[in-house]
Amino acid sequence: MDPQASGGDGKSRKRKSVSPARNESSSSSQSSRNSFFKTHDREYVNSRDAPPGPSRPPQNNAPPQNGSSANSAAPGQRPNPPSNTNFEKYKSLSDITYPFMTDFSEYERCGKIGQGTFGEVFKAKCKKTNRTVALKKILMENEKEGFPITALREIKILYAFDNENVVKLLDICSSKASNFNRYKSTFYLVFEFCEHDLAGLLSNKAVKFKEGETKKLMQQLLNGLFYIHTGKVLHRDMKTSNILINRDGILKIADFGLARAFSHLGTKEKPNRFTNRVVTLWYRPPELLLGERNYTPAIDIWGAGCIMCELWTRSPILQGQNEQHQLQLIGTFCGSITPEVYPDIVNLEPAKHLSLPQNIKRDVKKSLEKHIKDPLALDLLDKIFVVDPSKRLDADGALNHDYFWEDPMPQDLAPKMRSLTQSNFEFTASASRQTQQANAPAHPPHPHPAPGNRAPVHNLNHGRPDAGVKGFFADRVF
Amino acid sequence: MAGNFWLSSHCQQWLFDRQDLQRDRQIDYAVLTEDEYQKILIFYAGVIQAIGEQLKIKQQVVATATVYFRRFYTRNSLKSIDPLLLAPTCLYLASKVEEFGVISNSRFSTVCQNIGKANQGSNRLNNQFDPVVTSLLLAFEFTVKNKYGFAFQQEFPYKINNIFECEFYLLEMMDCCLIVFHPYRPLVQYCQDLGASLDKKEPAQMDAILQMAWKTVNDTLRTDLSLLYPPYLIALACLQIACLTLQKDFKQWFAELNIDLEKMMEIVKVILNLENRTLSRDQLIPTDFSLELHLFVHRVFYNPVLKSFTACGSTLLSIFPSRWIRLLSTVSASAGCC
Repeated sequence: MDPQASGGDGKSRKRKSVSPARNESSSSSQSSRNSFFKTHDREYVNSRDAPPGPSRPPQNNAPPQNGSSANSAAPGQRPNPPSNTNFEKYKSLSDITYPFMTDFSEYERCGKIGQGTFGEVFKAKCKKTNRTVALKKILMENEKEGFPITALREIKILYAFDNENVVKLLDICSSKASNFNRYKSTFYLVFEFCEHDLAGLLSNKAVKFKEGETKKLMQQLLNGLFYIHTGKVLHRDMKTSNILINRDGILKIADFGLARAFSHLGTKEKPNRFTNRVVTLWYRPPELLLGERNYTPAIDIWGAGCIMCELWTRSPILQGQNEQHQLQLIGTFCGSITPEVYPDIVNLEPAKHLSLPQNIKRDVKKSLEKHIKDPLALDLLDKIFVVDPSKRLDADGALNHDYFWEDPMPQDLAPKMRSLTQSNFEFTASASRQTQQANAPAHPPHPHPAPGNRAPVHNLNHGRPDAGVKGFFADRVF
Repeated sequence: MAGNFWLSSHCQQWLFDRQDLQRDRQIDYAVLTEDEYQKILIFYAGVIQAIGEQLKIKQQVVATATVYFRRFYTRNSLKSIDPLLLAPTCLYLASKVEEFGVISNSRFSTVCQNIGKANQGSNRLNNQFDPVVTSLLLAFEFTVKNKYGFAFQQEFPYKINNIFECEFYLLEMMDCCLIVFHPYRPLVQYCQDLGASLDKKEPAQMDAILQMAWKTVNDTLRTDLSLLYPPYLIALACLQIACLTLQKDFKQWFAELNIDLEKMMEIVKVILNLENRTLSRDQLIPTDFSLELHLFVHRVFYNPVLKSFTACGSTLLSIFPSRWIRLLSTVSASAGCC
């Protein structure tokens, strides 16, 4: 238990390889610190008065404020105690460096590949390592809460996680403040790059998954969820566009902007009171729609079930137009939601004001039979689409289901993924489709489920409130 | 989040040797003695604690904020950013990271009433800012004026935008390492274990020990311990102190632990030293804290620049010529420092 011993070799962390500037070794941190303080000792006049450029000599040209400046030391040199002093001198904001953070200029931006909840996503290349990465720009337009909490969550959770099926946060970099960005630097999260997202793949009809490949996808998804839940985190935004797949066929769960940690599972005596305005509507489980705030990892499993169905149907199975409608769809799918099937419903205040469909028989298997032939897959889904979250299968239980252990066994996805020559992202797919379907009705009536028909991409955007699409944020907490 | 401490950034990047700290603080130690430096940090730990109590913020959040505060000044000189601005920023960031983000409107208005700013509060609530940061700011304005008026000769000078901007620097300087492990959770676990090995008849005894140890953990926030030792060791040291104070003998239990007892005793020494030297618990302010010293730090370092910043409507980065520090040392020496 000696921390020195066990923590010692851990000091060479993965992040070091990405940005040697963060090196913790005494000599280099010392030198970077010195350079930092050197820049601080340099004195510039405020940028608003005289915007300094990098080429501009430090301060001799600077118009003295208050006209009282006389003493100016050379940059980087400790000024000697002067007889005559100038209070009014201070540093320009544009001169602030982030000595511990990689600069944005180390990456070369290639193109936009997505629009996340808190900003745009770009494909980029690290100039040093030549590694392709994804840069997520942290939008600071909403000045209400300072540094966006979604980004904070992503940073704190993903720095702690390390699993093959969870997207890796490699680094955080910042662009320098300059007069191009109103002296505010922009932060970027640097992720490993994945070639496809599941929504993009499914909308590309040329991509067809074999049974074994479907199993592999699901197995990896549940494996990632198992890791996340074991780490006591709720993802809270399961949907196909948040599932990434790289060209080695590895699936990765991404976008932890809504994720949160929980310290204990809520009990009767000590219930959790989380916000229930999470998860994109179509993937939202019944307990959230009924107003439960003491929810469990089971909410993510419901979403995983929806995603699993989509692997066959190719479009979301429960496309409600609002919360009430979503509950109705779930009712016709899983049978009436009554206290018999979900005892806790009597404790849910919001549920009392909702009129729920009555006397509908549960019919999960039958309604999916049209699309899914594998009886074991149907059985697994039947155990996932359980209204009562306490009776829903957990990630571990799902991974132990016979579905994953019977022929055809899960099959490596790498050959298929390597055969794809183009990236498939929901963002790029929907952009090209939107131009194709400019004449299509904006919200076509959409019976559920729509097999093999990925037409309602508009609809998708409607249901998947991505930033930028008509400013539609209704489903989002933030 | 459970997380693994041994793999965390806390363990791998944010535990230092004493020599590390010494070296990192060179710039400040050139002008302040170690003792003076500590007093300033203790003072602000007290301010953070006071605000936390006023807003009824969870101790976990307060602890995280205090550790952020220390981490920042480990990498930076005290002169780089005004501690009076960094303190609310740390609290705000910690409240977001620890998911304390939602403060209800009713609670918010209670806060405003408590500090006699009901009108101002409701006005501010209508503007576009997050209630948490608004109430933080109000609480700081209030506390700085009333409780710590002796140390600051002017009203709290910062605005919400300053906090937002400072948040960036804080995040960056901490290398975006946000998760802090505290001794509280291991403490509770150790107490459970200790309780199990005890006579079942005396649960009250165990409660007293836990309470005492918990308070001691709160006190450790005023030291460098969180930068030097892993939280489980701090928890054990606090437990040890509680047992000694309440005169319970658990030597056997401690002896069976597979830990570095010497290190634990180092921590115990630091805590006892802290209590001897400075703390009178009710006051939050170390008794022999040199007010003049603090006043000088604040007046000499920050005010002149502040004036110009507010004049430009711009912000915070108060960068000071190091000559002011030298000046300070001569002035405080001549002032006799209490």
